Amino acid sequence: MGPLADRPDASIVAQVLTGNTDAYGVLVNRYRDVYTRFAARMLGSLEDADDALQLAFVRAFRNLGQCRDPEKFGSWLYQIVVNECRTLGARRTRREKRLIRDDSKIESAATGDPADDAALRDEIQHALNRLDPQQREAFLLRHVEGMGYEEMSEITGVGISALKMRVKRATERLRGFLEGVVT
Amino acid sequence: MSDWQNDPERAGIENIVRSLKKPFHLDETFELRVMSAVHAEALAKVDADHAARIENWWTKRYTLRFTALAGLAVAASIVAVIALTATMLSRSPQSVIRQQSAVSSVSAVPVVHFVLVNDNAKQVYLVGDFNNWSKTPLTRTASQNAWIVSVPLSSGKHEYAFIVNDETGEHWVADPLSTKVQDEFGTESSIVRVGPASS
Repeated sequence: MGPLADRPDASIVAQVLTGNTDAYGVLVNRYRDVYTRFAARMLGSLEDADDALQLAFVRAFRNLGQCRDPEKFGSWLYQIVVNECRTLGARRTRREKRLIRDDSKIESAATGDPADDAALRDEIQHALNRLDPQQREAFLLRHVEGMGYEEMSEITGVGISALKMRVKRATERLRGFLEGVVT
Repeated sequence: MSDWQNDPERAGIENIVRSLKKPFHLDETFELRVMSAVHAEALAKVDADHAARIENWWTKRYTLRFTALAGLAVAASIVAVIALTATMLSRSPQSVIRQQSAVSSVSAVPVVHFVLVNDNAKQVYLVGDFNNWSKTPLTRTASQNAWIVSVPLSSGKHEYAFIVNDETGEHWVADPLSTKVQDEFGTESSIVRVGPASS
């Protein structure tokens, strides 16, 4: 057996379930950045994304015995992340009673081409924030995370035709919001 | 992911998608914070398992065999212990419960009892404008899978919802027995009114 960090998910899950709690750190390290973008875009704030991911990782650990297919730990964890984002988003919307334009935090945390127009990115995130959360979730999974509809359906628990409709509407609305802003 | 590359849905939104694809990074303490919470969970589980083992030992049925004389001696000892315990309990003050009720009855702030019946919940939380939408846990009652919490509320209209934690994760649930209100995205929460109807 090679180093723990090189082993597949199923092997690490087995280690954790037999009492090697430290092995879970490998899974945290492996998936933390993978899901941060989705959570940050979904919630509109890196701080909220941090909260959602922390809750998701702890919940996943608590219920690890219920992960039926440890080889697909990543997909199973994604379901939990999506759920945490839904709950956290709903609570935050009510707490603030409005959508906060928190793009400064996001854009300062984003790493990318410095030549990119920060104001444009600001507009795009703001337009994304204006979408219905269900449409935003479907749009991000489809177009930003590049998932197929079957995988999306597995992760969200929503039927494929409903997901297609949400993506279509989200795309149309985004195009409308950003007409004349983004070419 | 294969059908995504040539997806006609993407036409005209390539630049939007490119912008949204910028990666994010959590700070370096993230993993440490998660693992601290995970270790705390693991320790709590060990404690719970230990408590369960003790409970199993206590409730397990044992068969003891005595001779007639030894049986009489054991029976006499049990009677003596029960008698002693009963004497001690009869001297204990009984005022605690009465005192608690009295405080509740003289309280000027109305107390609202929130109840949710849910067969699958492992935990239920109350969130509302009165707790800044942070989670207040409900307690499961002994029967009917009812969850309850009592919260002192000021007069007026309050918005709230339950967060039900079951095997599939956490779910936002409006109170099925109350008036509902929707946010701008159609997510429902409930309304409770406290005090005069005009307030």
